[in-house]
Amino acid sequence: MHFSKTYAQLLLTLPPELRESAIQYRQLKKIINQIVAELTALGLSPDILQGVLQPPPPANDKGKQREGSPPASPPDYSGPRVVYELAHVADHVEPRLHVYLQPQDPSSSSTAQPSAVTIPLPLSQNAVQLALAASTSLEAADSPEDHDALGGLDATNGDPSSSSQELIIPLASDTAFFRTLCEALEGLSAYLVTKRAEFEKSLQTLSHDISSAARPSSSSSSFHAYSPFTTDPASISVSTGPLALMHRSDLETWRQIFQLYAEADIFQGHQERFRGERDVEDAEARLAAFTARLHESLANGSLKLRLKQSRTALNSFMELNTFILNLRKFQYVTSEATRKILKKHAKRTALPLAPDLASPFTVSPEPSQHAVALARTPRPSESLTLSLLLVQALTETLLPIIPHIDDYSCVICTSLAFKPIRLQCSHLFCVRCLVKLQKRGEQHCPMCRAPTVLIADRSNVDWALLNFMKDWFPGEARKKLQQNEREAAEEEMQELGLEMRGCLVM
Amino acid sequence: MSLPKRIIKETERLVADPAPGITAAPHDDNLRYFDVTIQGPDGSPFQNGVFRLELFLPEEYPMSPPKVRFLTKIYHPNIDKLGRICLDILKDKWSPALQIRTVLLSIQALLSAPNPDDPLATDVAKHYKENEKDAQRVSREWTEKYANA
Repeated sequence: MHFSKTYAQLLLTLPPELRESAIQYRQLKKIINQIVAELTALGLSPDILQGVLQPPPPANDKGKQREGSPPASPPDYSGPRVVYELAHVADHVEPRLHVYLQPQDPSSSSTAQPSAVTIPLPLSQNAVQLALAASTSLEAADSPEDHDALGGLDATNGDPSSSSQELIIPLASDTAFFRTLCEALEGLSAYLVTKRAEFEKSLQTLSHDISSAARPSSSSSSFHAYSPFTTDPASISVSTGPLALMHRSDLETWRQIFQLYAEADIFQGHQERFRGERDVEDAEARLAAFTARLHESLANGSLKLRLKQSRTALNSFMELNTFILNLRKFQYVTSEATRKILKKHAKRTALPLAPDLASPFTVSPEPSQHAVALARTPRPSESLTLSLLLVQALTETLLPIIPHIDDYSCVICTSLAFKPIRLQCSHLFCVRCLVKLQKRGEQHCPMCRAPTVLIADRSNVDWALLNFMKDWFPGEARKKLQQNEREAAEEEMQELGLEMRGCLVM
Repeated sequence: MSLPKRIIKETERLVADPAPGITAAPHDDNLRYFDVTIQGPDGSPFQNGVFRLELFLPEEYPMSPPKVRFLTKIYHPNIDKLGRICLDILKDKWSPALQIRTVLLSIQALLSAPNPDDPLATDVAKHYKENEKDAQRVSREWTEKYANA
């Protein structure tokens, strides 16, 4: 299938607003035909061009490129040589052919001053055909009448010692091609800047909404903070009584939603086997799977959104994700279209492949100006893509709203480190695991091997963290406390020589 | 006796997101017993070999270290004929903050960096100390002979 068709179909899957700012692939293709026609009219049909075209001189300062010495060529070759240049004029790129003509016999040839002459199209046709036919045509291009006719043209003196003649032929259709392409990409860049601002604004609103929908229990009257001065650590209990139930918050639900979201790993891989940005199909499938799981859990009641603002926020969350996915798709089709059209340009005209254009989806500190970038050498593509930046903004803004249990768990039992004991070396464990270590006579901290375990006592309870855990993880804290008590009881029985199992028939 | 939460979590991650060059799968009838494979590290005499090991989590795990043993024959100064491994973190330097994953990564690293000064297989260690090149040649031969996946 032709790419133009594939491209049109891909664009159809995107929202209209994105589609409207897409690159006009068909139009660019038509311009390529015009370029070929123009070149053929110059006597430079692709076949001929292929034979005489030289590799461009190494890109030095773009302004001076024109004045460089003629490129080296095999010594036995004395015909005209043509170099394709992308000159940078004001705000756009002006492609042109730079023709170096070498008189066959420099000593007997004309007395004309060696010079470079820019010839506008109507004249150049004649000139180039002649130049290619025989080097005697030099006079034709260099005749004084022409000079007058061209009046005020960019006629520069070449290196006086050189006996070569140079012609510069601007390519009008080709200029139109690059102008159309660059304008499209720049328009796209500007459009993306506004979309990015919109995205960030909705993200802020969403962040605010989720924060208030997932309030911790300290926002209710049932929350009582513990303090080392009024509380005995052994007496601490966590209740989720009727008062706590009345407190309306979707904390747990949002925690589960974010957990599902993190597990779905939609746009970026975080596994040992795969890290980095996923390709579009993979991300799309993952987003669909996440959406399906979410809807299923909401339908069967395992996830409940009590508050209306939670439901609105979830919709907005899904919209932002969909937007990122569409952006990824759009980025993919645009870069494909750009790559293909430049390749087609090179193939059809026999002009060399233009350097890579900076993608409008690439986010870099310097403002991207495609015309400028084109005239320069290709730049390193180490900057972030916009979609990746948005994914990071999304996860970095929303996920930390709700503390994650992994950040507050004991490395030994992997449950919430409740009640939290902070050793002198600053490492954190749950009281249960610390007691076990002490009973085994273990001196050294499991994390850093500092001899801090046996000296730990009641003063090592981290009260601030204890309150924080009770606030943000009331369910987990209660469960862990119960489990601690059960385990401690079992251990005591064992120490008394009684086995819990089998003999507990009352 | 039900399986502690920690072991369940570790197993899930080992299966879902294995470390490169390492696999570990629990037995269906004993979830504390794992079949392990470790690929010989590139650049070591064990390169291209796949070594089978067994790993067992005792009742006191993670307060006590897992028991690990090579099942594939290997010519290494810190691993003896019975497959027992001389590695401090499996003995006195064990810490309950270590995991199955970190233990297996340490064993993989031991293959890259044999330590003949703390030998378990004294004859292999002697060989490694006296003529490292020749000892490595034997290690390569054994790898090809026994650890050929």
